[in-house]
Amino acid sequence: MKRIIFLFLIFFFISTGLFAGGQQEGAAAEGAPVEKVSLRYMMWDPQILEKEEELAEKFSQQNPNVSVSIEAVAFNQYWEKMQAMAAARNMPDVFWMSSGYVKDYANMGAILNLDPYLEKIDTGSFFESSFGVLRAPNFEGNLYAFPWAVVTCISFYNKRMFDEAGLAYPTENWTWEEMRDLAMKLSKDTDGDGEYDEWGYWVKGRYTHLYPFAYNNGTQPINDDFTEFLLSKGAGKDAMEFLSDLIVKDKVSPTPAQTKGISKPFTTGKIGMCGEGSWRIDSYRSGLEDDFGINLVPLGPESEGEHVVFGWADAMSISAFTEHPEEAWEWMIFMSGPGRPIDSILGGKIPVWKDTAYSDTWLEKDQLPENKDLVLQSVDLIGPTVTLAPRFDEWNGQVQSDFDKIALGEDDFDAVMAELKKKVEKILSR
Amino acid sequence: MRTILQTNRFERYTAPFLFLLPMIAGLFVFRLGPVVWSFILSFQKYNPFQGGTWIGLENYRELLQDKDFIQVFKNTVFFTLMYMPLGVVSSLFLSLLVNNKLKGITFFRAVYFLPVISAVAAIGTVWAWLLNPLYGLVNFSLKSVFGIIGPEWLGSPKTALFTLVLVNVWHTMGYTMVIFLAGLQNIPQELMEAAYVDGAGKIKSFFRIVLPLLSPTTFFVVVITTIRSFQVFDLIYIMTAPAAGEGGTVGGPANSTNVLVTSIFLNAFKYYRMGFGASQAYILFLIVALITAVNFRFQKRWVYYS
Repeated sequence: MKRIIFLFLIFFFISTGLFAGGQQEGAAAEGAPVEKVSLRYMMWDPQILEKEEELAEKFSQQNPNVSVSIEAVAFNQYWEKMQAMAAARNMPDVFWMSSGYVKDYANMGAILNLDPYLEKIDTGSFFESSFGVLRAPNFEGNLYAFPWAVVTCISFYNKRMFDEAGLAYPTENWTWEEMRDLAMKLSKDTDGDGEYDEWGYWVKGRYTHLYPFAYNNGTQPINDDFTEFLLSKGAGKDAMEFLSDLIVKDKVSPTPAQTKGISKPFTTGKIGMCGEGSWRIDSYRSGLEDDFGINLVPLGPESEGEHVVFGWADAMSISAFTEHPEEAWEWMIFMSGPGRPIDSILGGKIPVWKDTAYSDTWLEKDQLPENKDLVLQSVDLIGPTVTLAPRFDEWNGQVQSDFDKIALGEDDFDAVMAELKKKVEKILSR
Repeated sequence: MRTILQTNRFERYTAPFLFLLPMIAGLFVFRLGPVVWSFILSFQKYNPFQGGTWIGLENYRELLQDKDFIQVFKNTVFFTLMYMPLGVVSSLFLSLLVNNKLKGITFFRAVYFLPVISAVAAIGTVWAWLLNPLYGLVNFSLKSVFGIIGPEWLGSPKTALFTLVLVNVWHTMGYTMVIFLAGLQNIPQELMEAAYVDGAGKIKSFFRIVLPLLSPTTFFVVVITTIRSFQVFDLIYIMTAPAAGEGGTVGGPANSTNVLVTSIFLNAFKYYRMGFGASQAYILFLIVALITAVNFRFQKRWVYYS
């Protein structure tokens, strides 16, 4: 008798363990006439989650058989989480894709080729410069991600600091020398301890700070074949040296050690100018008390007067493992095209649907910066973007780390740059 | 009441095994399985989409020539070399302080133990904020009270690793303090009184009586402190992860706080090189095993078991 009870208990525990998970199977077979589709969508901006949920609601109203569940993961954990999901073959149906990863994910067979779907839409109404950036490989291949916004790197300046110093705001065709001159005039030592505590400029190893200067000096960070690192010699090197001298020699920029842990130094009101992504317009509006303006990045000596803008697209991809590619495509187009309400894409991200971008509502003439249309101008000037190169995260991380080494005044510029070239090319060649 | 002669074959031989089965299954799936799998993984080139291809010792060869890995290795060793003595001495000191029968001493023992049970995420975040070079409370107090400009803590490659050591010592002091306390309380009072009668001062009796009798405890503390220091990950991750929009990776300014575990994490989960990460994990395993073996061999020399 005891033995029977014992065996029954074992059976009971094992079976509850096995069957505890899968209860949903029965419910779906209820024979609903229209198949209910549930899409999983993942993005990396938890701050706009509410707005995205409203969009999901609106989409469901227009497409009653589809519901979209949204997962927001902070950017610095996004790709790790994505990789874990990929390993478990449990990827979301639609997710935000960065041009830095599109090539790698396409090569790994994780995302769908979208060219067959392009025939369904009128591509001319979108900013086509945003498509080229997402075609892997090398800007001419298949389209693996669909852009929903474009961002560009521009220059920001603190108007209050300029006014107090009695300086005129920078003009569109300003040069490096003019920028350096302004930075020196804006730097101040307010508490008399011999060190600046208000700086005319802020630069560190970030790609948004460095690469635009290479682009505006007639060169680019990596060559078009993605085999060579171009910042350790010639015009590229001049750009890097100009920027690091601002920190190390002129001291008109705080060092990376001083700004450690401060995520947006420009909002402290102690930085005169900086070069950053256009999406910073949102956070500077809310975080900075002073008025600010925007401008194109200054021209270097080798630029021949031509502005080349460093920009790329924020995009979405469809997982290659999705069971609902049609519905996923519809959701993607809804988020990128005319269906997307304008108030969900205000600020510094430029909508790829031209009518939305050029509308008065988007131009937000009643808000800072006053000349927001400069951002639209910059979209048309986007050059070959380096973020499409393979393993962007890894080699760009090396560039940032090594530039910061130079900026901390430790190491010799030439030695570090020569070493960096080898490291970057090794990563590119893998 | 049944005796053992009355149990049947099933109860004697099969039933125990069945009772152990859940635990053994868990051990295989969650411990042994991954250990074996990552050993195999260390000889492959692996990413989650395309699976693995066998490349033999290529990963290990690459590690030995990689300048970054040599830096990582150095960082790990320096971290342990700085952390171990500081951790042991500071907690020994604390345990001596709390080893008395004053009223309310339990309160202090608890307070010193609090950092051990606090969430690492909270500790890392608060300390990173306090140690902010320009605006953190520590440097601000140093400037306004003593008039000195404080170091750049986590911002400079020269000081970042030591900063992490200090915070980790603060975090773990309470735990080893308790262990030392137990060891101290095992020392019979008569010995101390006899020494006092013979004219030994406090310092002499500490070094001649307390320390030798404490040596088994000290040995234990040294070994676990060393092993644990090789495993520190969450604190380093929290404190060196870049702020939103700052760019860069875990592992501190210019790779200066990138230790073995953070390097494994970066390679496996950020750069999609899981085989390469696995090979680093096995290097870590070898180091820890070696140190433990060395420690055990030398204990015959300096541990005194009464």
